[in-house]
Amino acid sequence: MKLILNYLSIHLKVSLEYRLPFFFSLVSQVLYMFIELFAVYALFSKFNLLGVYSIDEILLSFSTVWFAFAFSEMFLRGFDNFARLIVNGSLDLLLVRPRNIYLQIFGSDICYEKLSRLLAALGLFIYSSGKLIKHFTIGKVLLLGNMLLGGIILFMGLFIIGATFCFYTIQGIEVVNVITDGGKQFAEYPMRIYKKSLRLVFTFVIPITIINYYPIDYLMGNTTNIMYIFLPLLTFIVLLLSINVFNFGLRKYHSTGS
Amino acid sequence: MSYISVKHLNKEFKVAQRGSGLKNAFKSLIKRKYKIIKAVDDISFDIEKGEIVGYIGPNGAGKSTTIKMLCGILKSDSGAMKVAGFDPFKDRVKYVKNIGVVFGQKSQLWWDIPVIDSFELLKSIYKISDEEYNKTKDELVKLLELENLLSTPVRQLSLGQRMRAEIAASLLHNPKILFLDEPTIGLDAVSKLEVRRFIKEINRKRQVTVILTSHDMTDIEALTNRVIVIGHGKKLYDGTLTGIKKKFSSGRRLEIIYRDLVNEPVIKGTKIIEKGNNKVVLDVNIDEISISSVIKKYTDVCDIEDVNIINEDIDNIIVKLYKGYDL
Repeated sequence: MKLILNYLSIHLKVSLEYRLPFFFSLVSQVLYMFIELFAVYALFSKFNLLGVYSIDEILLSFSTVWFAFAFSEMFLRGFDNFARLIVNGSLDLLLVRPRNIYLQIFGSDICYEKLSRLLAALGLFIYSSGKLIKHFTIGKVLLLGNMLLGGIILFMGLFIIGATFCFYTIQGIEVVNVITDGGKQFAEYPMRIYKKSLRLVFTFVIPITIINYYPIDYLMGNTTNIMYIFLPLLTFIVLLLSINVFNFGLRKYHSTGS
Repeated sequence: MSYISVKHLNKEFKVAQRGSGLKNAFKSLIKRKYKIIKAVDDISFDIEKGEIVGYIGPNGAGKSTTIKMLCGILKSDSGAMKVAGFDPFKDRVKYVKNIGVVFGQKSQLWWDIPVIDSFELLKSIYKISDEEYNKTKDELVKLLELENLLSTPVRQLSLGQRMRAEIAASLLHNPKILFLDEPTIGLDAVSKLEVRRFIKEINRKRQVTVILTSHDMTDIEALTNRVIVIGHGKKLYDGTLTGIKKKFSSGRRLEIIYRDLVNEPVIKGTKIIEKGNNKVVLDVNIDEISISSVIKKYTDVCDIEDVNIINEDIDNIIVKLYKGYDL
C-alpha cells in the first residue's frame, strides 16, 4: 500500500515537472471526450432515435465505458505501453526487484493527464443515473457501484491480455487496440441499437454488455431480477483469465539486448 | 557447496532467419525459417562468497544471457543453478532481495526527478527500514561523493555522475551479490577509476560478491584476478588473468638504452624488433631465456642507462585468445 502511494506521488512529481504541457493535456483530454459524446448525440438526433432512447440512457452507457476506460488508461498505462517496457529492457529491471510484477508494471507509468477525463466521466455518470432512475433503491445504488467496479475490472483484464501479446511479438500490435479501443467505441452507444448476434459477442467474448446494457435494464425498471445487481462483477472472470495468460507469457519471456 | 554454483547450464533461442531485401521480408511473413542458437551451452562454474569475478567474452557470446539467468530474469532450459541458497528463477521474489544489479545500458533511476526521489522509491520497493536506509544512504553518498547530486534531476547528470548514482541505487538494500553489466561503458578515464575504486571498496568493506562483465580489459585487470571467458555460449577459460597472460603471451618486450656498445650480442630466444641510436627493442621469449639473463648479456658488453619491460597489452592477449578459439 505504501508502495502504491509512493508510485502515485513520484509520477505526480514527474507530471508537474512539465507543468504547461500537463495542464494542456488535462484540458484536451476532456475536450476529446465531449467531442465523441457530441458525435454520438448527433447521430441519434439525425436518425430521430432520441424518442426511442432517452438522452440519459445514452449518457449513462457512454459514461460507464468512458469512466472505466479512462481509469485503465490512467493507472494501467504500464500495460498499455508494455511493448516499450520489453523493448527498452525496463522489464528486466522490474524482474530483479522483490515485488509483485503487476504492482511494478502499474508503477512504471501512471498517466495523470487522464484524471480530467476520469472525473468528467464520473460526473456524467452520476448526473445521468440520477436522471434515469425514477425510484432509487439500495439495489440500484449498489448496482451503480458495481457498474463502475466491473468496468474497471473488465478493462484491466483487457489491458493485461493486450500486454501479453507483446511477449510474442515484442512490438505492440493493433490487435490490442481492436479489443480495447474498439470495445470502447462499441459500448459508447446504448446496446439496444445492436443486433442480437453482435450483442452476444459482446456478452460472452468481450463482456461489455454486462457493465452497461443489462444493468441499465435493471436501473430503468425493465426487470427486477436481483441477479442483475451482481452481473457486472462477473468481469472478474476476464481478469483472472488474463492474469493466467500473462503469467504464462512471462515464463516464455526472452528479454532483449544486452 | 559454494556460494554461487552453476552446473551444466543451457539456454537456447529460436531466431527467425530471413534474407535481405523486400522480397524476402514478404516471404518471411508467410513462412519463416528458424535457427536455433545456443546462447549458453553447458556452462558450469563456482564462485565463493566475497569474490570478484570478471565474466568476459566477445559480443553475442552469451554473457548477458548468463547474467540474466543468474538474476532470475530468464528461465534456463536445463542445468542447475543455486545462488546464495536460492533457485534464482523459481524463488525470484525472495531471491532478488539479495542481489543488486547494474545494467550499464539501462537506468533504474527516474529520468525527470531528483536522484533522491528514486532512492526513496527503492527504499519502499525493498521495504528498507528508515534507520537502515539512512545509514546505508549516508555511507554510499560519502563513498561515491554524491552529496551535490542528490537533488539534481537525473537528466541533468553527466554519464559518470549517473553511473555513480546507479551503483549507489543498486546497493541501497545491502545486497550480498552485485551484478555489474558493463558498468564503465562510455565513461571517461577519471570516472572509470572512480567506479573501480568504489567497486573494490564495497567488495572489501561489505564482503559483497561481485560478478562483472566488461569489454574494457583494464576494468577487469584493475578489479580482479579471476576471469571466466566464454565464447559461442561455451566456457573457454576459468582461472586467473595471469594464467591467460602466461598461456597466450609467452613474450615480453624489452627496451634497452645503452652506451658504448661495440658488438650487438646475439642472444638465443630473443628477436630484435627495432634498433636505433643507442637503443634496442627486443622480444624475449621467456620460456627460453629469462629477462635477467638478457639484461646480464648486455651489461657484459656495454653500459646500460635504462631498461623498460613492456608487458603485452591485455587487450591484445584477449584478441589472441578469441582467435585461438576461432571466435
